[in-house]
Amino acid sequence: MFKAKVLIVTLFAASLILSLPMEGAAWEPLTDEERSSTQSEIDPNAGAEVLYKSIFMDGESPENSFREYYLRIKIYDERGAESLGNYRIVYDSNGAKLGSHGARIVKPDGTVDEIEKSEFFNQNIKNNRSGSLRSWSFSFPELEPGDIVDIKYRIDLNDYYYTPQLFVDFQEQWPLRRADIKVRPATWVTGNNYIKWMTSKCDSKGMKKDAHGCYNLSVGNFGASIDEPHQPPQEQDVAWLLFYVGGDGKLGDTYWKNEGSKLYRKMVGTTKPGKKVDEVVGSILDGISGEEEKLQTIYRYCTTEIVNSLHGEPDRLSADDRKNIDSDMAAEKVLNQGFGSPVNVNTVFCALARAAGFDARMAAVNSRDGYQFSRPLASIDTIMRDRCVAIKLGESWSYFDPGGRYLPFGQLDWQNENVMVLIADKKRLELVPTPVSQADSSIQKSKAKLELSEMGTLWGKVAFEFSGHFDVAFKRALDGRSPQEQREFVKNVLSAQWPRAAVSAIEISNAANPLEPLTIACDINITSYAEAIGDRLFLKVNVFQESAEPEFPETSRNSDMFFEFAKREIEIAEIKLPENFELEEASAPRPFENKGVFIYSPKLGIKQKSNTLLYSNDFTFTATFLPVRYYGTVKKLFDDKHAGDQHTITLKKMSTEASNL
Amino acid sequence: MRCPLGILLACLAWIFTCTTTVDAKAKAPDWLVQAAEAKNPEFQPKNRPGVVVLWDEGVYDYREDGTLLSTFRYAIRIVEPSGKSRARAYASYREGSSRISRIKAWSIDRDNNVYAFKNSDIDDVASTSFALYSESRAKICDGESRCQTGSVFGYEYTREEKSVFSQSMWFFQSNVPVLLSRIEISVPEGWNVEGTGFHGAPASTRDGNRYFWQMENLPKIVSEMDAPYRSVNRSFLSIDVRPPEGERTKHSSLRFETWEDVANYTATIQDPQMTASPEIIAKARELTAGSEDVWSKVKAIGDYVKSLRYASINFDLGQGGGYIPRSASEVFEVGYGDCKDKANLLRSMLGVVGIKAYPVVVNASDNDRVYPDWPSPFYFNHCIAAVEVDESVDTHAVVEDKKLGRILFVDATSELTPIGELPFEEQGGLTVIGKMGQDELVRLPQAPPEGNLSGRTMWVELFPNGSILGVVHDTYKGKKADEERRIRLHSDEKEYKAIYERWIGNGNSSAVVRLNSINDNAATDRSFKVQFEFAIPRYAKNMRNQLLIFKPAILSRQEESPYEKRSRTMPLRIAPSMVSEDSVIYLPAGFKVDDMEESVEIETDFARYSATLEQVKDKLLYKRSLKFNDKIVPPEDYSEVQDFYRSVIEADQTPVVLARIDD
Repeated sequence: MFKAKVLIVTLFAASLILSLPMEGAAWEPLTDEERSSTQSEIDPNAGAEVLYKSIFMDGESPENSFREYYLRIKIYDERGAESLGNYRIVYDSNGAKLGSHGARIVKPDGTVDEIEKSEFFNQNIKNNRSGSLRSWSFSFPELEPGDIVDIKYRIDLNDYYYTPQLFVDFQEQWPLRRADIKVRPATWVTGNNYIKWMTSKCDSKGMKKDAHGCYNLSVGNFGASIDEPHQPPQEQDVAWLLFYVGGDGKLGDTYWKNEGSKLYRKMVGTTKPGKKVDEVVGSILDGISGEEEKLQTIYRYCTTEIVNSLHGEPDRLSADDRKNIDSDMAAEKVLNQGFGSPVNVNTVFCALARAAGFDARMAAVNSRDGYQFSRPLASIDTIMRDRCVAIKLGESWSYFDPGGRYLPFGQLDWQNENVMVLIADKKRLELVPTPVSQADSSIQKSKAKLELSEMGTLWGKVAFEFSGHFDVAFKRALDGRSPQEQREFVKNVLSAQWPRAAVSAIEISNAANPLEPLTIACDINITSYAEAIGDRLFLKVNVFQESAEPEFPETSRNSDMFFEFAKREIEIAEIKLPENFELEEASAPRPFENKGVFIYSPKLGIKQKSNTLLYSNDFTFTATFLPVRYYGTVKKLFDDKHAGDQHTITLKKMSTEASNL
Repeated sequence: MRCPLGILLACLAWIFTCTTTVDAKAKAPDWLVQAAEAKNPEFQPKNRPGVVVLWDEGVYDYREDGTLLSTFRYAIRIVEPSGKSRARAYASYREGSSRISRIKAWSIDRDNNVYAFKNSDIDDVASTSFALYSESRAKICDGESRCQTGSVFGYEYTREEKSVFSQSMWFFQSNVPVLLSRIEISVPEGWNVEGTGFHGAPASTRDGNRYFWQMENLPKIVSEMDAPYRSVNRSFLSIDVRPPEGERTKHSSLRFETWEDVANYTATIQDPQMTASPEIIAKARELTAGSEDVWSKVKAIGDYVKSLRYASINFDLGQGGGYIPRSASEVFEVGYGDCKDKANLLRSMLGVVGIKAYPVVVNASDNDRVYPDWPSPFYFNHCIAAVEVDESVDTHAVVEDKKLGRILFVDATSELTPIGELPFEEQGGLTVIGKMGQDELVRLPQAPPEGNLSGRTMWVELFPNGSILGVVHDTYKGKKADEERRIRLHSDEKEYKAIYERWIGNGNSSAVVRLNSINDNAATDRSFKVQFEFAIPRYAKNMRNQLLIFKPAILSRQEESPYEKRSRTMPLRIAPSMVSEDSVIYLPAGFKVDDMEESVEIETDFARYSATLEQVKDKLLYKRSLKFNDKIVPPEDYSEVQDFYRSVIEADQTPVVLARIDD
């Protein structure tokens, strides 16, 4: 949750709040309802509520274009008062200047305290080659519950700065009762271009054009933005408006077909066969006949022979090398220089595959961690920013992303799974969903061979092996670090897992190898792992989850549940028990499952001969998105798993006679 | 004659080529070339720093009018990839009193190719984002993108400064190894330069009016958790530059030779700002109407000033503006101010009702910053007030000073600490009271362990299935109350309840809490009280319905030691605090105590722990207390602290085993 004392409003971010009154206009009148309100109806717990927020973006006249903001907030308690301390308006002074502005407090008894103009402080906060940021800041005197705060200001834009685009986020720190957005684009915009807008989670029929050429949107009753575990990305979870102007009039499938055609034309240029492309294909595919083998060979070449600017060993590229990277570079050039951006690597893969006779195409793909694909949102730069390569194998398309380093052959990033992909095509619309990987593709395997002392100390070796998305995520986290820094990073990760453990002898293998799975091995020593009392030891059998916190601690929830990818976690531990101890109460944790989506299979056994406890657990979770209405079920499943992971058995010291048997 | 397009393009191409040639042939200055030739020191395996400082130099040149021209040169070599983020030139200045007349930066890659950063690579930024307005600014050149492991990044800049201050500090050591650190000061004829070295800093070498100090091959400074600041032993130099006796320069004119000078300066700049306007007079009288004793007057006015919003506006920093409050009337009118503004308004209002108060400069973040041997206002970053009080005021924030008499320290800025107490971080620190003639440092009072109390009374019922239900009355005092207030202030009731549920569940997400009452008694006894009920399913481990195992230290168990590190080279400051708990635990029917530890007592000179468990019919009476004294533990006694924590953890984690009574 946003808790910064200084609220920063930037013109660029434009995820702004406020707006409306014209130059010199009076304050908006207060309604009786606003005056008498003692708590937010949207969230009675809220410390404050935005009663009214408006933005008026007027670009009708290039000489007089501006944005006006108005914000009215009611304070309900001390937290609300505290949140509105210092206020800062930030804007680009090269392209804009602050026009009329003001702020006031209306006390519960109706008295009005207006902030003096002399109490607004103007400061240049950043100057550099790309512009100059200025700020005006002021502070409210102490606010009290019952106060209503009004803030209004206008940013005058110069002739060249005006850009008819607006993004408004309706869910911020406090609930929002009502918001009015008004946009009047310049006539030249409306004459030759197309006004487009998109809303998310707004109960509204969209913007309406009035007789003055203004597009209007009135919405309201939004809760505050809150943080919850496994929350969908902000773009999918909160209410917003995007207003923009499309350069051409195409909408829906027509737009996407046109974009697919543009992609195709660009691809033809960047993947054009050339001397180097032919040479590489000739040399690496010499003697290879199978289709998949050929592709794998090309894939391996792209991931190992071309230095990827984003991942791997960034030190291999100098600053001058980096200057030579351009995402539109042709494959021939990338091959000649030996390095490039992730898109360049994909271009090379596409070019080599085409040269080898495959129907390979560049493709634009949506991302699960950004805006969800929507046909009406005709903006490829907003919702399809990622690139991959589609190759027709048989009747269907397969997808590859060698530029996303460490991705195994044929696997996309989890963000690009189960989303729409636009495949470059000269004439047809090729807009199809990408496949989703199965849980078996992303496995984290944890193994431990340990020994327990009579005092409860647990020590021995543990090892981890990762595949699929687990492997990619961990390798990327280790990217760009020296071996020493990688060990420190791993140590921190393991220390979070076992806060009381001494971790040593860390060995990391295949951290930079895109073809082999990452493995980590280390020694651990945990004093008092098992509780020793009297003749008994109380032992948590799942060593790997010793300090795990509940996945969903809250009893209620507001947002849907979002999971990155389907996964499988295999945990195997052998614990040699102290020689003179035996199992007293050794029930196994209960296995359970839910419709194949959630499978929890712990097992417990003992090797009598060596007095060694054998624990294993195979956990599979395949959901990637679940509506909030399933929260109760999901919480219970994870709570039960947590309880199972904390399962404890009792060991009792054998009598001397028994232990001598 | 028209210029043929081809020639024009050729010219442009030539100009472009020349430009790139200049870049390609960029040269580093001699000092940077020399710095780059230095070899890295030997690093211990697995302990390589991100960077090594190759060169850290300041050359100060004082002019006759007191203007200071200083040139700084700094170079690092990137050792590990994480060190690249330190390839950043940072030249601070204060708008209005200083300016950066020149700044240059270079990178030298592993193949000795030099890149000279351009003027367009330099950002000019306001360097504080918390103040409403501040003159503090910096010119910054970010060199990270040009650097690889093994690269050298260096920069130099010149700052022209017209300030009233003539003191400065030079830190030779850093948190990475430093190969060379030097400072050179030149002054006009007749001026005096006095450098005092701390923690091994050298004496000066003098050549006429030039003074030099230099250290080489310095290891990185390493701080350890809870080590007093000064025990880090960071080599530094305090510098006083003085014009000839009796000569007043336009700049660099302030002298601080004694603590009395600092006190006098504080009084001189602050006292004129406290004149009470008619509105202030009226408000002070209104607030204290009906107040009969000094305490109630101080409290009424103190609470009012505390309630004003904190907002900082920094003007005239070169003229000491960072220490000068805005006038009391202005602060009263706008309704907000920073720490010195608030302390000043507080003094003004107290003066109206006949209570004398003085400004006090303190370090708000660390109570061990002040070196008594070097009087200076530079140690201090916060302002509070010292109020003359009588016997009606009796709190942990009162001291009996041999010169000033009975003094109550009031921090009118802290939003968490009530009047009558001081924020914990300030307690025990040395301060200057801004009274003319005050010639000694004064130590702020330190609350005793009982003043930072977390007290709990608890009634709990344990059920045969392992669940527990409990009723808790918590009372927090001092630092503990402030911590609780902070949590409450930043969370609504739902969030606060969730925080309690997470704390009480301690990993069990099914714990349920009902908050019965939350009482912040800041205005009365300054305590913070919370009463709540809770239920934790499966709290006790039920072993096949035969055994029930549970820990009688149900809440706030010591789970881990803050001092796991094997050894220590620095002393450890133990902060005074106390936890006390009385619990009644009703046992489930059908079970008897099979195993329990009846009493544990651990006593050292820095802490005391005791826990007793007594069975009385169907219930267990559990008493636990943990008290830390205000103590500096020397490093050689570190193992005692570790042993103490181990024993406490073991005691807190020790369960009681109940066995089912056979039918």
